[in-house]
Amino acid sequence: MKYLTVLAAIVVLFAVEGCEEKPITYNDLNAPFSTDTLVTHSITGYTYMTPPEFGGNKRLYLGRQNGFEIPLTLLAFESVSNSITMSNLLDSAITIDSVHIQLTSSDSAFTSAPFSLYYFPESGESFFTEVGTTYLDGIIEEVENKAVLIGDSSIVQLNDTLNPVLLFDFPVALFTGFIDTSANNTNRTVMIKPASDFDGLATFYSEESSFNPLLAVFYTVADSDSVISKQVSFKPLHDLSVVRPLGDTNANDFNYWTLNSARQLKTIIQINLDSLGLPEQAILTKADLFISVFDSQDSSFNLQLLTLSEAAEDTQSVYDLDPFTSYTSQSTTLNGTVKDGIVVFNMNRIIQSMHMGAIDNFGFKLISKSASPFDIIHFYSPEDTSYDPYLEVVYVSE
Amino acid sequence: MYRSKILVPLFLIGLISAQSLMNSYGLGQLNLSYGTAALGNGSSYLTPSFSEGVSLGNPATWKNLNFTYIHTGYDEQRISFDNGEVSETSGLNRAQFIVPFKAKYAFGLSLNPYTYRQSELTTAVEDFENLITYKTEGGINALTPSIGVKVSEFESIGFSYSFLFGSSRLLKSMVLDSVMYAQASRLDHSGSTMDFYIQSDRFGGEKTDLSLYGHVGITIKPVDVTQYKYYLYQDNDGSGHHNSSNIALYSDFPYPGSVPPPDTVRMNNTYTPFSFNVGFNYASASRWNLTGGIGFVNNNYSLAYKECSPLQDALSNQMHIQIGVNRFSRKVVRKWTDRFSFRSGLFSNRYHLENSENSIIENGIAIGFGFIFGITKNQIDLSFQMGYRSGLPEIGNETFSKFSIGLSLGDIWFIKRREL
Repeated sequence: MKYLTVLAAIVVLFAVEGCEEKPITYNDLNAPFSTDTLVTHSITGYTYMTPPEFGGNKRLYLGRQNGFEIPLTLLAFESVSNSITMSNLLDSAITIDSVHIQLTSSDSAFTSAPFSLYYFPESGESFFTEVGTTYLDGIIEEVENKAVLIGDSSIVQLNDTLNPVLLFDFPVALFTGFIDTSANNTNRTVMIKPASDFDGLATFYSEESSFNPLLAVFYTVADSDSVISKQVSFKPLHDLSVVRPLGDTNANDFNYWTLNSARQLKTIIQINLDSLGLPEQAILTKADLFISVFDSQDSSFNLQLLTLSEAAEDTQSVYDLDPFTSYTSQSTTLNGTVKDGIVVFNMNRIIQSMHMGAIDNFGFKLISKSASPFDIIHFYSPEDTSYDPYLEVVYVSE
Repeated sequence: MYRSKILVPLFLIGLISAQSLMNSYGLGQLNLSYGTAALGNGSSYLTPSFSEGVSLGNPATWKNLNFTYIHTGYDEQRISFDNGEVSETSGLNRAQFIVPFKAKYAFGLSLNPYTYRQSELTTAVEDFENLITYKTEGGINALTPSIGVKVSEFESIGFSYSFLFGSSRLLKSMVLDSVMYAQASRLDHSGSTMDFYIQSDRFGGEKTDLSLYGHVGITIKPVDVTQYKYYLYQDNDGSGHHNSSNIALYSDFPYPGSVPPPDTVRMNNTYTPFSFNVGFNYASASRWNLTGGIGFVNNNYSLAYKECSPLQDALSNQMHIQIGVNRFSRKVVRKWTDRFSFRSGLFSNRYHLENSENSIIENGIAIGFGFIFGITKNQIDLSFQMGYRSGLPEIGNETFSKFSIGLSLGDIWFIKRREL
């Protein structure tokens, strides 16, 4: 037993290995990896269109541009602001002094204001939504029949640091009826229309932005001793500019890859990655998708590429509802800008993930991210043999 | 009296091979060390080196043991290269358990490294670009049950069956465009071999003993290799492992969790060795022993496996020659000097590379001492070996030295007790 104890102690002592290793210099080693470049033109795609979506836009528009007209903008106001409800303002102790509606222009040089304000005293509850209401629903014709004129606008500069403000006075007599919930008018909705001869485009901040429209009420409260002047401002609950295209789509819109927000023209792209012939184990150092612009004018158009997470079941030109709304994670969404007539998307990580099978290759969707929803751009499609889109991949493998 | 009925699980095998270019060929370098005592005799496992008439590596000689032994050894090895680089490592080399029975039979079990694959080869570049590194580690182990049987007055035979198992790792890396790319593989090995031993004392005289020894090793199941090739990656943190980091700059690409499972490549019949050895031991009346032996190993590597080794080459065969002089401790100890054993040897190995058809020559000398103590002839051995290898491609020469210490603890088993 004594010897076993000694043996065990020796084993434990020697169980710790001593090692001091430096690499052996050997120059005649075969290179285990190499780099190569592959290009594929095996890309298909098509342009499709869905009804316009302006709800949730950070801007409101009035006027016309690039084959579109915006004949009206609707605003439905909240009934509560800082615990003060509109119906509170009907209290006998309160005297409403003045009411106005203001929209802040997104153009610092805004000077022309041929706009009129309307309301809907006989229309009951709200009759539009930000998501879903489009010119296709007949909203333009519906409001034309129901709207009652309040007055015309003016432009004011509230201070030197803010952009000009479009201002409408809301007569107090009309306003009390506007907020009286016992009347058949609970929509709290107003409409702004440009003059029929207004040929430009006016842009304002919407309720999704920091300089949202306001319905400002100036009033006084009388108590036994004094009269106190107060103000309350109500923000819009919904606002929407109704956009209507002037004329049908251009023949090029569906012959090329076309992007436009106002008409909701989008493009689906499918890339056949098997045509690349990548080795099973490969690291992509570069995977660039090149798309050439068809339009002749110089453009720095912004667009976005989204990676689809579901397969397209059919291919149509026009959909009532966009069927391609399921995407993979945010990391597979790419932003691109046209420069010198071409846009290049760095799809390295996306193609790498598809090659490894981490995500499925259901294709991609291109959408416009131009500042103006009325900007339109056409790209060459795969049918053009000179400027067709292609994917260039640089990889490292054994 | 039984000292112990419990087999001490001494399955502690450490990686004891310093990296050598030899480890980069084929399966790696074969382990020719059969314990400290054999090391001091010039790495001869066939002829007696442990004690008089006994070699721990030859089951046919175990019948001459008087006690049950547990043996283990510790090696410290150093290799120097012509360019001044040095590699050192140390660790346990073997665990063995031998039980003799009635001076006629013996059973043993051993666990030891079969091959060594530890090596790291790198190119010398000035600016880090195109730096290539191959790193291997691990190797094959052998679990070997053995039996020895005295079959006649002069002859004894022995059998060993080795279960070969274990895994090795291969990491390849290369810098391209200032980015390091790496790929790791794990290779699982399995196979089995059988060894036959024979000893004959038929040619001894009245005052001298001449013993002859023979050995044949054959493959029962050729070594199969399953290679798991992990996905290629950018080793941005230079760790040699495919991992992620909270710091994007140091996170490897692609993300480790998104890569597919490793490719599995099965290579059958990659290694089918055959070995043959003969030796002799001439013992004089003054207890001096002259030993010698010659052996040959034909490795029979498959083409597929050679391509897996960092140098894409393998040792196709090797020849071993050894001659030594020993003087063992007395069986009956009368004075303290009788407890000492002395061993010495000269050895030479010739290795032939299959693809390049180069030959590597290894020559060395060895010296060793042993000391027995206790009633059951416990034994502690010290050995030292040094030599050089020449003909190594690119490297030129390696100078190696190895120091080893072995401990063998004896016990008495299978003694019939007299009832009172």
